[in-house]
Formats: sequence, structure tokens, C-alpha cells
Amino acid sequence: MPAAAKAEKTDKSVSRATKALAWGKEQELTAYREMLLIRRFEEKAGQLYGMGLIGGFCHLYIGQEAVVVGMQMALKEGDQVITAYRDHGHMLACGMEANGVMAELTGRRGGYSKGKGGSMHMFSIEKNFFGGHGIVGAQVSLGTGIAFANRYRDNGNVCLTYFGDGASNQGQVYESFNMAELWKLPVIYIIENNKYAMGTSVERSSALTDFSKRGASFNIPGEKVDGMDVRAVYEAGARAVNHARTGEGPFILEMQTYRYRGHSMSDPAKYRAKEEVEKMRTERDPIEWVRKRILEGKFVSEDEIKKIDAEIRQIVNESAEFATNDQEPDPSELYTDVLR
Amino acid sequence: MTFNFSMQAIDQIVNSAAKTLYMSGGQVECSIVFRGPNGAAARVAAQHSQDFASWYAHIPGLKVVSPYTAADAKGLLKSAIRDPNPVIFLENEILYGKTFPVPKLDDYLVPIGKAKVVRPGKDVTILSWSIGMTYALEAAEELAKKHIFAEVIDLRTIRPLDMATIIESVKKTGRCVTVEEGWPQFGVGSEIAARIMDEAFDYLDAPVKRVTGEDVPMPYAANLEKLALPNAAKVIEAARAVTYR
Repeated sequence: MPAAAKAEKTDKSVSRATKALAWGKEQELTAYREMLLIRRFEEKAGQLYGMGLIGGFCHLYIGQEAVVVGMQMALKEGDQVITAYRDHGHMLACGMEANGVMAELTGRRGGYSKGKGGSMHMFSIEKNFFGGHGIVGAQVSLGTGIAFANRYRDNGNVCLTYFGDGASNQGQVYESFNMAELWKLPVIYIIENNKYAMGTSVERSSALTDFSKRGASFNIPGEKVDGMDVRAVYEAGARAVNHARTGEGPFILEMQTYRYRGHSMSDPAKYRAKEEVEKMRTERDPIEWVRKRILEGKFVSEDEIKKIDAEIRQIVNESAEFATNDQEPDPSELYTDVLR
Repeated sequence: MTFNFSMQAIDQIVNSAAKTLYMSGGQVECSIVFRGPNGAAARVAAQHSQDFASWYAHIPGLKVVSPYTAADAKGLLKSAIRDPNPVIFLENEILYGKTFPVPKLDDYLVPIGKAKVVRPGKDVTILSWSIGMTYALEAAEELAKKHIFAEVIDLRTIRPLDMATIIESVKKTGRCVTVEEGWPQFGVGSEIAARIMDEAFDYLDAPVKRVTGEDVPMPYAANLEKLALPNAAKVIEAARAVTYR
């Protein structure tokens, strides 16, 4: 292990994967497959953006894959997910089809929102994914509301409410925290701390950079988690989900993660050194870690890994093909879905 | 950050900034400029493509400014900063990429509340501001080829409205088309139409016509987005309708 990674590991306040967690072949392969799908999907989306097939804002999730995949593995059927605009990974992890997500990115009728929502605004009620929201922090109140509905209906489900380090400084977050703890709502607030609020580092944008403590004045417990290790995410996620599901109320997970790309496709990311990104890529890449463990544990051979890689590429290429050839929405769709 | 995010703090703007002078009986001034990109950029869909001109222009206690040219942006921004009131300064993201001459003066000021006749004409008045001016001017150029001579006015300030300049023009042309990116209901065009009825009804030869964004949230798909926005063709159509040509 490189020295830098070792030094980071000594920070005792951050939850790592424990020895008690013995992931076997099945979990490691599931995590690998899911994370790789997000990685390859996002790379392809970046390409299509470059080709002008995707317009507007497009926020890629590359580097943060372990967070959403680990959390999803801790859920059960019926649990909901809501997030902001860096949402493609969340949708894929929720089981939404790559074709439908990519076609929404290109604004075609086969997209999850019929091409009307785009990258930032996509939903699948069938897969319990509640968006896809463009206004920073706005989804936090909505996720709290979903958790309220779970409690009201007593359905035993929890709602994962994702937001970033930047959004955690928005006012409605704290109004939501208060209600969530007051009414013991089954909601897990996942703060994806990728170190930058758009182009502003957390040190420059946040008075309290320990985001796990952001619920302290409401008595909401929190935990800092190594968000680059899918096993650590899963373990902490399972604890938090159990807390919320058993009626103990909300839980905050600060996922320490990193995005390799800019805030959006139009961000050249000049506010950080290239070396910083390179270091994360080479020393902390969440997918490489799993791949290494799979090979070291001899769960499958290198050839079989290559086969998985090829399968993923196939899914992603097909989605790009579909999203490129599918038709734009019918002009009459302009006036539908405004009211019911 | 754009004006789309201003709703997160709209209470501070509407309930505090706009009303404090009045509520304090003139004791407490709120001299502040809120400036930022407003309106649709390109393909950024429903939550990032809104024109807030009529939202803020609805509020007594605010001034609302929205320049089209770079020179006006400079002169009006200086005036806004010197103004003792809260000023909403709506810029347009797409216009950031457009080049205009700017006079080299030490202290270049453009007064708030003054519209500008950008292109004189006799047949129809076309009123717009900000990016709407691109559609208005393009339409006027095309209309001239059909011997319909439009007078194009850049409002520049939405609140207070420069009714004197508007009425003077309408008295001359007898017809008026308003152009805005915002939604039609309770829009700036609606207010102008009502005021023209109040102040120049007898001079009108045709009903005032509004060209606006479609009455829907902004769609993402490229084809639908194009349909949702105003353009020169829609302005030309409206001008021909009110001139019956």
C-alpha cells in the first residue's frame, strides 16, 4: 500500500471495512459489475456529450461509484432513493435500464422522462427512484417527505437521501433534519463529500468540514465512511439502514469520496491540481480495489473478469446506439404532463 | 449559480429587501443589487430555464433591470449599485457570448427606468428586453423586407416601466407586440397590454399581441425546447397579425 493511502488509513474517525465483513465471490462480483457499469456508462455519456448528442448540463459520477453501489446492496425491496443532479449512477444502481437513462440524456422519447427531463431530472417510480433534482439541496426535503410517507404507511421501508458537501450548507437541509429526528423518520442522509462544492473546496465553503456532525444539534447520529471502499460503504450503510428501519430515526453518513471529472462537462476543474486527481485514481480507485480483491482471492480468473468487462461494454454500447437512433419526442408532448 | 436558485432565498428578497423601507416608515434603507444569469441557457431543462422578470417585477419595493447590450449592462449596473433601493439585475447567459461596443467613458451611467427606441418605425411597436431583443430585431429586419416598418423598443428596466416611451410609440404606430421568454400568464407583456388599454386605448388599431415562452416547464429534448421558446418567426407572425398583412 502506498504511503499516502497508509496515512489516510490511520484516521480513526473514518469507518473502514472491518474484518467481520467477509465478502465472498458473489458480493465482490456484484459490486464490481455494478460499479463498472456506472463507470463505463459515464465514460460513454462523456463521449456523447463531446459529440453534441447530449446537451446542457451533464454531471458525471466517475470516481464515486462505490458510494451508491455499496448503499444499494444494503437495501431491501421497496426502499427508495432520491438524489440531486449527479444522478446517472444512482439510477443504474437502482436497476433502471441503461437504454432508458442514456436515451433521456440524448432527449429521446425512449428516455425515462420521455426526453423531457434530461440528465438532471429523471425518475422511475417502478424502481423506487425519485429523481434527479436540479436545485442544490432541494431533494433533501423531498427525501424526508418520502420517509414521512413510509412512517405514515408503516411499510417498513427507508429512504436514502443523497446530497453533496455543497448542498449540506443549504437551509432546507436543517429544517428537514429537525422534522426527521422529531418524528423518527426512516431516512438516511448520505452526504457525498467529494471535496468540492462545484469548484470550491470544502475548506473554503464549509464552516464545519466534518459532515458526519451536521446533525449534532438535532441528535441525529452520524458516521464518516471511506466512500472509496464499497465494503466499508456497505457495512456502514447496513448499520444506518437498520437504525432507520427499526424506528430509531434518521442517520447521517458522510461518504468521503472523490469525483475524477469536473463538476459538469463544462468545468475544466482548474481549482485543483492534476496530481491530486491522479493520486486518487491510482491509489484509491474503488473499482480497481474490488478487481484486485477478486483476483487475489481467486474468485474468478482474469479471463472471466475480461468477459465481465466485455459484457458491460456491450450493454453501454447498446444504450448509446439506442439513445442515438431513438426518435425525439412527438411535438405534441410539449403540452402533456403539465397537469393531470 | 443562476436566478433559478434565487427561489431558495426569495423570502429574503421579497419579504425583507423589498418591504423594509416601507415597513420602517422610511427609516431603514436596503441598498443592494442581486445580479446573475436569468432565463433559459441551452438544454438545461425545467429547473434551470426560467425567466424571473415578471416574478420580481410584481413586487413593489424592488427595481428590476434586464439589459440587452453590453453598454447598457455596464451603465445600468453602475446605476443599480448607486441606487438606494434593492435592484434585481437580470442578465442573460446566452448574451454573455455576444459582443457589443461599449463607450469608453470614465463614468458611464444609464438611468434605471428609461426604455430606448433601438429601431424607429411607423407600422407596429415591438417591445422587448434582454435576449428577446435578438428576436425583435431579427423580426424587424425581415418585416422591413415586406414593407412593414417596426419600431423596436428595448425596455431595459422592467420595474418601473417606462410607460411614457411605450405610449408615445403606440400613439404613432397604433399596434403593439410584446416579446418575452417568460410564461404568458401574468407576464410582463400582460401588464403592458393592460397599461396601454388604460393610457392609449383610443390609439390602438389592433389588440396588443404577446409573444411569450409556451405555457409549460422547459422541456429538455432539443426539438421541444425549440418549440417552447419565442423566436423571430413568432414575432413576425404576431406583427403581421396586428398589422393585418
